[in-house]
This record gives sequence, structure tokens and C-alpha cells, in this order.
Amino acid sequence: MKSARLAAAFLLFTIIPLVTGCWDRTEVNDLALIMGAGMDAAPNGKVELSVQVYTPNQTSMSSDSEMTSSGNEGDMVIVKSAVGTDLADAAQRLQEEMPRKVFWGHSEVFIVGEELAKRGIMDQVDFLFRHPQPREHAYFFISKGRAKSILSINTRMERDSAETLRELTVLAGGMGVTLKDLGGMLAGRSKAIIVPLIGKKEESGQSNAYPYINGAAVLMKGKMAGQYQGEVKRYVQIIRNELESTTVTFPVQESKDDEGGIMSVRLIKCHTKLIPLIRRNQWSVMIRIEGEASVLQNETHVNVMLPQEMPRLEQQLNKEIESKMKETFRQIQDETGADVFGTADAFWHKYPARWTKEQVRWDEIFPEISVYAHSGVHIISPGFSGKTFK
Amino acid sequence: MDKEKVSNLQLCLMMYLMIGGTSILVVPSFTAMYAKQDMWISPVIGSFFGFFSVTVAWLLYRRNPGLTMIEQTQRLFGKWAGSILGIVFLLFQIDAIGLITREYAEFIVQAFLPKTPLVMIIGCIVLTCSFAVRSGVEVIGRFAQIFGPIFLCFVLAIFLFLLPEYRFSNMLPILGTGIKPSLKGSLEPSVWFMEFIFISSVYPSVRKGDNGLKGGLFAVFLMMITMVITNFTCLFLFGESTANLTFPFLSASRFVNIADFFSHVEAIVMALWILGGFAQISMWYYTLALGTAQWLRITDFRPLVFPVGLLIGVFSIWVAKNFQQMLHYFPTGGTGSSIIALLLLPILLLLVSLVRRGGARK
Amino acid sequence: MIVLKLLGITLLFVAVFIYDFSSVDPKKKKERAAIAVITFAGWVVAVMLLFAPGLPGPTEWINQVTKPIWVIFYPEG
Repeated sequence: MKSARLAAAFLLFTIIPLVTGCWDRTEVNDLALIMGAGMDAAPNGKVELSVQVYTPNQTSMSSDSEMTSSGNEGDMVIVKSAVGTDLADAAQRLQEEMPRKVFWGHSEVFIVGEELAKRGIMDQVDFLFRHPQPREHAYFFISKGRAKSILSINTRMERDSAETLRELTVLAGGMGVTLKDLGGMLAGRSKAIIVPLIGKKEESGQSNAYPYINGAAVLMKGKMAGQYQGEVKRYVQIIRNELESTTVTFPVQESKDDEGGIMSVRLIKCHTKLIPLIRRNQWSVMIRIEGEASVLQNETHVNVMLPQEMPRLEQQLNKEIESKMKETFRQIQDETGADVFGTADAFWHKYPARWTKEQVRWDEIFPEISVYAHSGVHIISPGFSGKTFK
Repeated sequence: MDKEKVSNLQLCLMMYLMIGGTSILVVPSFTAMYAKQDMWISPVIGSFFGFFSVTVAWLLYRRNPGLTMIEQTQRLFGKWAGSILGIVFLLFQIDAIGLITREYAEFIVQAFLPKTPLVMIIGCIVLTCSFAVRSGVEVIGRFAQIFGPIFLCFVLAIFLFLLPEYRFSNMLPILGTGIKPSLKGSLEPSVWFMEFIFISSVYPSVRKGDNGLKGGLFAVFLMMITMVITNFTCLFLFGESTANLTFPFLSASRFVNIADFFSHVEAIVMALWILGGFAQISMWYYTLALGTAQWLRITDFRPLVFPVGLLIGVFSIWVAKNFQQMLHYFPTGGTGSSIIALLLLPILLLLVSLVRRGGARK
Repeated sequence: MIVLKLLGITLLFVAVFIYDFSSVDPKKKKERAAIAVITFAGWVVAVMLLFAPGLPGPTEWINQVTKPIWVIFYPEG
């Protein structure tokens, strides 16, 4: 009987080598690493997917002699694109053109072109969430014009435009919306999305083009509803409690003489809260900001070294901030009807029972909400120089 | 069969991994769906069932020392009724273990190795576990002793790594809509906590003098803490959209990105899954093999290990046609069968045991 | 192809069977019987699944039987 056992054991062992060899083994140099991807609208309701593929082999055939002097030689990335009925379809066609297996795991950046944003992003964005590879940490943008043109930019300072964008978002001025944040916004209470807008800046010819964060795009239910730049964008960020520091310029009214002037302060730390209130059937929200500021530029006669001047200045400053915040809120409220500030969440936190009842009407309620603002910013330092030179 | 002995600590960690090995992945999604921002409360509610089950098992053991549940049913109910109850219990186990193995394999295939056939992965783990089970409960105990704490540490580590990214306001309003959502969300965790009744299979092997009750209760406590931590991780990171993700904890671990250097941490989650899965399946396997042997009144369960392994493999394929069906089973048939086998049956046993002692001459 | 799979499965089950069967004392009838029955049952189900992959499993059956219990908690199913 012992030999039967041996035979059986031997049989079991021989079966094992026959089934070795993983099904999913892929060598690293068989992968096409995607550093960034862009989605654009294509005619007939189709989408065009462009990807920036990392090509570590440096091309020595560089005709631009000035390129070699800066640390980055040659083309580190290639942009390829394909058109398909939807993103998944386009991705498949793209794969068919490539000698390597497409790998999304390293994609830092996803850009949606302006046209596609106007059409609506919800359908295509589903691919990014459902596919196991794209990382939740990747940043999401909407571009002015075509996403493909952003990806094609040959940048000098960073390795490629995807890297540039990523570094930009990390800096304070950019609002970083990751895929995780996007998912949260899409599934969130207000169904409103705000996403950084990128544009392409060209200086002195093509070779010096670079992407930069231009503003913010507001989408309602996945469709582009408005684009905001500059000050409006900054205030939106302030209300969202995302901006750590920014400059506020405000007019100062001299009490005695008529001559006024402007002063600019830098908000160093500020914290914004939305305080909702439902009185009878009137929904309102109070934007409350607390913070510290230091004087940056003084174009008035006011002596900022004197403590007794501070209350008056602070009052003017706060008035300015309050009116700007109210204005911004109303602008977004009227033009897009999109609650990008988290007002819906504020109401849910404070009035959970009422919210659960009324949430279906949110799209009607939000445009009717009255907004108040209260600013409690203190000027804590006058800056390095004291008296003005005037 | 020489009686091997397991220490109290080993007992505790074995039970912890037996129930919790694969829970970290599925619990957040389920609780988020019903409890939303209160999803961290659900495991706390569920743990009540864990404490209850451990206590019932321990009381039964005290009244019927040296016997596991199968043996106890035979003793308390006599030959015919005992065998019928026994087989119900065993059938539940084989169905459950098929599901657990399937769940384990599905995750690996879905998240990491899409082209590998399920059979392959199931085969590998069942084979590995069969060696462990064949070697006896002491081996599993030692494994749990080493890897249990590692498991918990990694879960904690991922929770801590993500600290800078957390939005603590996601947990508000606490109990905003009352306790009902948390209760609804606690159903599935409760079902899992009921599985602690299986501690009765290990009680006969516990070293003399070690307190099995303390070990069991502490295991329930560890399980609860683990679930709460994983739920918090997902809650603070994703908020309520946790419910949209199939594997929220995995997605959360992918988010770890320290100084652009330390990232792609999902490999750790895969390792956790395999470790936990191995311990879990081994424990269920052991319980099943032991139970079958005892039901047949055979002294040594070892020769049964490989055939039972084949049966497990076959059942894990049979149990669901696809991933969605498997997932759907947990709140439906899984709940129903667990309540019968893990709650009603032991309570029945306990009652009979009390009655018999109470006035019995039998 | 299917024949190959069938052969492979049968081979596997037979191998396991022989290994365990022979490791047990011929005197112990009960153990041997148990090994035989369990292995055979497994083989039957495996072969059934090979030919009819969509075979309704214990899941469906348990769902039906225990319906009165879980329907209290999850009326939507």
C-alpha cells in the first residue's frame, strides 16, 4: 500500500508544474506607462482620448541644439490619441495601436476638454472610477480648449506637462481636485462640481508654451455651467475654506479729510464656516470668516503702526470681505445654481431631519437662499516698514 | 489523536483572524450604504452579538467539558435528533466556507489578477490551508500568534498614514437621523460576530488553566476595534461615497502618498488579505474537518482533511455564478442561515443543557 | 477540451483518494468509508459543474428557505 501512496503523491506533485506560470504576469518594459490623459469631444458624439506615454529612451536625434543645454534632453513623453464611442472604447483602440500594454496606474493627471465638459462629463468619468487601475490620488482638471493640446506641450521646467500640472496643484494657489474628491462631489448632496481650469500660455513662440491654472470651472450635474477666473475664483476658494492665504485690497475711507486710498493686506490664516439657518420656511446661510492679516501695501495716509487705527481699518477690511463674499456667492448662485460651497452639507449637519425631508427640492431651494456674511479678520502686523512714505 | 494544546493568546488571535481575516474589505461598503456617516457605530452594535456568542460557547463548554458543539449536540439530543442537528450545522459550515473561500479568491482576481482563473487561486489557498489543518490546531495557533498582531498593526498603519488627508467633519451629524441607520448597517457585522460561536471547536484544545472566556471576549473586542478603524479610515477619506466603492479600504490604501515617495501601498492590503484569508480559511477548515469527524464518531480527523479540501474547492465554485450574486447572498441567505445555525441552535443547546442539569437524572 | 478537464478532475480526486485511503489502517472501516464518500461527493459536484456551470447552488436554495427570516430586515431583497 505504501507504493500506492507514493505514486499518488508523485502524481499530485507533477500536476503542479503544469499549472505554474501566472496568467497576469507582465514585465515592466512591456508596459506603456500613462503619465496623463485627456478627454475631448469628437464629432458625432464620440470622444477622443489622448494619453501621454512615458518613453524613457531618450532620442539622441534631437535637432534642437538648445534643448540639450537644459537638463532634460529629448522627448520624454509621446502623446497618442484615439477616437471611440466612449472612453472605454477609445482606450481599447489606443491599446491596439501600441506595442505595449497600457497601464493607468501612474497617471497623475486627467484633463477634460472644454467641449466635452459642456456636453457633460458624468458618462465618461464613470470609466475612471470603475476601471481598477486609475489612482484615486490623480488630479482632475478641465481645460480651456482641447485637452490634447495641453498634453502636447513640451515643458522646460518639469519632465512633462502632466508633472507641471501636478506640481501646480500642490502649491497653494491651485485647488487640487483628486479623483476621490470628484467622486465625492458627484455622489454628494449638491451634485455640483468645481474643478480647476487650465489654460495654455504662450510666450514668444511655440517653444515656450506652458500650462497653468487659469481659474475654476463649475459644473452642475456634470455639465459645465460657468467658468470663473481671478478674484471670483479666489473668493470661491475662500468660502470653501480652501485658501490658506491671499491678498485683499480694499478702499479706506479717511474720517476727517476726503482723501482716501487703498490698502492691501495679506490674509495669513483664515477659516471660513457656513452657518445655515432655517427660519419658518426661509433658508439662509451665514458665511463666517475668521482670520489674521498683515499689511502688505499701504497707499493711504494712515499710520499702520498705531494700534488705535486698527479697529477702523479692520472694519473697512471686513466690510470689503463681506461684500465680496456675498457678491461671489450670489454670482455663482444665480449664474450656475450650483452649490459648490458645501451649503447642502451644512444644512444636513445642522438640520438632519429637515434635510432628509426636503432634499429632493434642493435645486429649487438653493437659488432662493439668502446669504449673509460676517468677517472677523484682525490685522495683526504692519509688515516690515512702519510709517508710510506719504 | 494526541491532544495538542493552544494557549489563551493563541486562542484569542486565532478567533480574531477567523472572523476578521476578510472583513476589513467588505464591512465599510456595507455599513456605509445603510448607516452613512454613522457607519462606525455599526460594528460596535454588532460586537454585542460577538460577546454573546462567546459567552454562550463558554457556558456550553463549562457544562459539557471537553466537547465541541457537534459532540455536545450528540450528547444532549441523543443519537437521532443530535445527528440531524449536527448535519444542519455542518451543512451550514460547508456553505459558509465555500462562500468565504470564494470571497477571498474573488477579491484577488478582481483587484490584482484579472486573467487568472478563480479555480487556480482557490486551489492554491485550499491546498496551503490543508497542510496547516492536517498538522493540527497548534500550527494554526502559532501562525495566528505571529501574524495576528502584524495584521492589526498594518491596518492601524494605513489608518495613520492617511491622517493628513482626513476630513473629520464627515462623521457629522452624529446620529443625525437617529440610531436606526446604524442598526440597519450593523446587521451584516452582527452576523459575522455570531460566528464567534465556533470558538467551541477550539476550547477542547486550550491549555489547562488558561481562561478561554477572557481570550474569546478579547478577540471580539479586537475585531470590533479593527472594524471601527477601517470604517473610520473610509469615512474620513471618502465620506458617504464609501458606499459606491466595491473595495473601499483598498481604494483608501491606494491614496497613501507620503512625500511622493511612499505610495502604491495597496500591495500591503493584498498581503493582509492573503494572510488573513489563510488564517480564516484554515480555521473554518479545521472546524469543518473536526466537526465532520466527530459527527461520524471517528477519532482522527486527519485523513479527512484532503477530501474535505476538495469539497471546499468545489463548493466555492458552486456557491455563486458571479461576484454580484456572491455579494448579494450576505444580507439575504447568509443572514437567515447564520441566525439559525449560529444563534438559534446554540441557544437551544444551552437551554437544553441547563434543563438537563437542572433536574436531570439522564 | 472538456474531456481533458474531466480527466484532470478525475485524476485529482483519485489521487487524493488513494493517498488518504492508503494512509489509513484497513481495519478502520469507518474512516475509509468517510474518505470514500466525501471524495466521491466532491467528484460528483465537480463533474456536474463542469458540464453545467450555471447549476443553481446552495445559495439559491438557502435564500428561498430562509426567506422568512431575512425578509424582516431587508424587504427589498
